[in-house]
Amino acid sequence: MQEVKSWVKSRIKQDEIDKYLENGRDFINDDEILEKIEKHKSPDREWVREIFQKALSINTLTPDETAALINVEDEDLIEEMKEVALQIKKKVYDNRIVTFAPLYLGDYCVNNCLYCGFRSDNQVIKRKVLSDEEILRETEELAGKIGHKRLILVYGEHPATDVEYIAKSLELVYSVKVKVRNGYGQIRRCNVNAAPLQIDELRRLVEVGIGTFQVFQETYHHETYNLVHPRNTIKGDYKWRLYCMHRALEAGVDDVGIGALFGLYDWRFEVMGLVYHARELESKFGIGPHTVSFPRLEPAANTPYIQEAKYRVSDKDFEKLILVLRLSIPYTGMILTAREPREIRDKVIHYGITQTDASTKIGIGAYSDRCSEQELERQQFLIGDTRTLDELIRDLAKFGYITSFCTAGYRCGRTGDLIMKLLKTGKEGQFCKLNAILTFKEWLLDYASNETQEVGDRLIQKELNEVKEKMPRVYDKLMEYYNRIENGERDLFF
Amino acid sequence: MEKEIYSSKEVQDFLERVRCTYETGGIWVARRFGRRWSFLCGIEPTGPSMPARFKIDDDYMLFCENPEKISKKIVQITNKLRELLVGK
Repeated sequence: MQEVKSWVKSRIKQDEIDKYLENGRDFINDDEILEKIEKHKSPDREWVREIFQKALSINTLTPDETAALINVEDEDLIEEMKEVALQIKKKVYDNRIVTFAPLYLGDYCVNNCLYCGFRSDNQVIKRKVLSDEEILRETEELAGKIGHKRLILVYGEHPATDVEYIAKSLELVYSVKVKVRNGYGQIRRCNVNAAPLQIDELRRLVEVGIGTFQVFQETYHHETYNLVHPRNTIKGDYKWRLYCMHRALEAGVDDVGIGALFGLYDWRFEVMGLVYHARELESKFGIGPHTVSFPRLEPAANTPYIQEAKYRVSDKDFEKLILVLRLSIPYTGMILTAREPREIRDKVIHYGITQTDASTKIGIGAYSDRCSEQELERQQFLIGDTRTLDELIRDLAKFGYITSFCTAGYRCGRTGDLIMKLLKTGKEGQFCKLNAILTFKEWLLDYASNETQEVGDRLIQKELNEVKEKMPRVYDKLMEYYNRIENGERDLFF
Repeated sequence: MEKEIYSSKEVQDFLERVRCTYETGGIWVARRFGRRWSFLCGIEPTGPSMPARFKIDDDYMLFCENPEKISKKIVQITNKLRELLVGK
């Protein structure tokens, strides 16, 4: 117990906050955000359309422009916004959707956040940290049986899952290679969702090949933040969390993921906060967020705060916030998770979503246990969409989206500043298309059910025809790789 | 405040000269971190292609979009990059 207390005391390095402040203040000015939302209550239609054009040119919107979009109520304009959102996504990422799975490694946590099932004083949660062997078993299931290539590893904030544990678990996950139907299964990219870390700790994760480092601010509203995160906890320090992406970029992490937990405060404020955060990173480092996440509060075991939360986001507002984010930070990846029920996911996937999860299990050790039921005492919250990866891929293919398992960028140096340039100029979308075809074909050969294989092969044929017509220069090379994959080679990419 | 990665103007200028002389298209240097190759500096690719890779040392790799014309000079180029990046 004493060890945990002294670990907690050593976590926050004040100088790793203060160095980023301007005049002692952080970059979220609550009054300014509220004023802007109020000021643009009835935005002029022509201005809104100009904002659409700016977003289509893949330029980050200003807070005033985002506030204007937040206030659009006209149904026709909202319909236009949906079209613009899809066009932006197509321009930056083509019609591919990347899939991943969350892997929870530990649910011990020293924090006591009112909305979280893993909070330290929640006695009904069964606490566990995966051992090395269990990590390997979970990975074998994910890479060998399900066919994921990309994971987000999730950790509570606790000395049992400190940075050395995180680094070790990354190495373990990357070490797994499993024989599958026609090739082999392997996790090619590990992203990390963890508590804010110190700069030296982030350097350690860079050394072991971290993908995206993801930390959500939960709420950007200072007063609400202080209300739901008790002051005597690490997470009670708003600025330590707010500046964790500054530290990550300074430490050499190329890709950072930001997010807010929608439902803690007014969704409009959180959208503005995310835009301010993106702009701050762009201005200080020349690199904006690689991804933005927008989870909504979901029921958790023995957590009455959630039922009583007064800012829970309706489906209609949820749709709108996705559209506004898509337009406001047009180059960023947008992550929609299985927290949301199937009908919502099937609807908003068309609003510019780029990544989603499937076959999702968030209980500690739940993949290798193969438990099909959700156990609230083992997980942080309840998930809303339990479709398998095979089912999701089939559904996406029916919508015309190709599922991509591409992890090429970070294995040939297309990261950081370089990928930002490629995203903003629409060039990355071409890589996305080609790598989506190749990785999708691999997946169909190695894991797909017969039904999904049929639907998938039809989609691939359509995609190949499109490449032949629009990118004739690379068509022959693509077909060479494609044929090599059919003959058993794996992991070929552009 | 700067991101703590190697982004020497000298390396960037050298890669610009190589690109112009040998018509390489995109050419960039990345540093290895585990399985990850992380962008350091250089010029972005002009279009999709599988970039050729030239080892600089165990930590650094040169990626090149159109390598046809630099192949004969690659030893000199990677030696120069090694000198600029790690000083030997």
